[in-house]
Amino acid sequence: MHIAEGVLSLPVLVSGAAIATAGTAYGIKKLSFETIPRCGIVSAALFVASLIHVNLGATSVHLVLGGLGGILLGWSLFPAFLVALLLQAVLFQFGGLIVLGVNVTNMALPGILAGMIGRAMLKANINPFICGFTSGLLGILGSAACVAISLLFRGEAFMTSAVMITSAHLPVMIIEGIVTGFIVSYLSKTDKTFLEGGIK
Amino acid sequence: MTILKARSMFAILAIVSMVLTVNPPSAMAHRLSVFAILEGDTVNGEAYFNDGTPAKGCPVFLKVNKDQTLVKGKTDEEGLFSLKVPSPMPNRLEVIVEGGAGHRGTTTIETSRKGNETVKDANAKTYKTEGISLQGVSEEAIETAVRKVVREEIKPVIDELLKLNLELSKPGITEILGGIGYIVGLTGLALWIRGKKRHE
Repeated sequence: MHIAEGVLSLPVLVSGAAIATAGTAYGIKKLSFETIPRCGIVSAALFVASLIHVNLGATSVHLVLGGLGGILLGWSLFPAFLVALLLQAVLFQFGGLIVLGVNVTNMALPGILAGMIGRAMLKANINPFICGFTSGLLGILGSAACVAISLLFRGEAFMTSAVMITSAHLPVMIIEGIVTGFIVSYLSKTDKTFLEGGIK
Repeated sequence: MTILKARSMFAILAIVSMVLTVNPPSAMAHRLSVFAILEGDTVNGEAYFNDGTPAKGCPVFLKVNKDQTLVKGKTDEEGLFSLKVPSPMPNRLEVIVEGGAGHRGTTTIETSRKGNETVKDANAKTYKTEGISLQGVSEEAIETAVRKVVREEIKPVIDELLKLNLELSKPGITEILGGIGYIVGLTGLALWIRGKKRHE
């Protein structure tokens, strides 16, 4: 998911940074005293999620947790991803500082949209596991599409790279869906107020 | 709950069978590490993702500068590559491996010290070792022979270096805990600032 330094063209880098800046500013504005701890916890989870590699067959996958973050944080997912990816770039050299904006946008924006869908489904009293599963799956699918769009201006044909990236992430989509599904169904049982946490 | 369990079991089974059949490219790792050394006029090296999986069948470029590509090649099934550099040998070589889907790893080799070190020993032609006269043997032949022996001798050292490099490219527990610490600190800072505002 992390795009490396030196791959993207300047217009893509600039627009990614612009969207990330605007999203982060809006997300911070939306944060309240009550929801700051939640944002911190989600940020820590995002930071660690991509370190846990699950070996499946000949390849290995890791979680992104964008959909879960979207359900829990809404627009405040932007600052959470910014902090998590900044630390990943500095400490692990995942991605990089120049591409930070693009990477934050590629992961946060689909996560927020997937979270909105998940929240709407939860409010419609659909089984929480299915709501979480949908959000988790859509988050990864959206991120894969965003990565493909970012690479579009580099001459990699959109359809081939989109198909390649999406098919490579199929296992992650399903695992992320299951993990998000379990977390959301657990939260909905133990903490009925988690949706009314003030983040809309 | 039993329905949930049956459903997730089914999903896990689906993933496992999918991974076993599709075997997607390792596109979900985040960092592509490249290790390369110059042996004679050949650049030998290895490319792998941060979780240790080799970058298979990825394009490799040897560049003198940003626009000038000297040689193009591909990594094999084990992520190894070997490219012959055409003479004259440039002072600095940039090795770039493209992992697809935004992955890219680079490393540079300083080649300037090679070549200059050719020993101009006037006595070389009259050396006698264990009764074998080296008279008449060209300096080049000696050099080639020495290079070959040295290369074989230092192979274990280079293998060890490769292993060490691979170990180092994985994130350590110090960085992980440090990153989480940063996030906790930032959350506290945000709470402090918001709390102060709320108080006023």
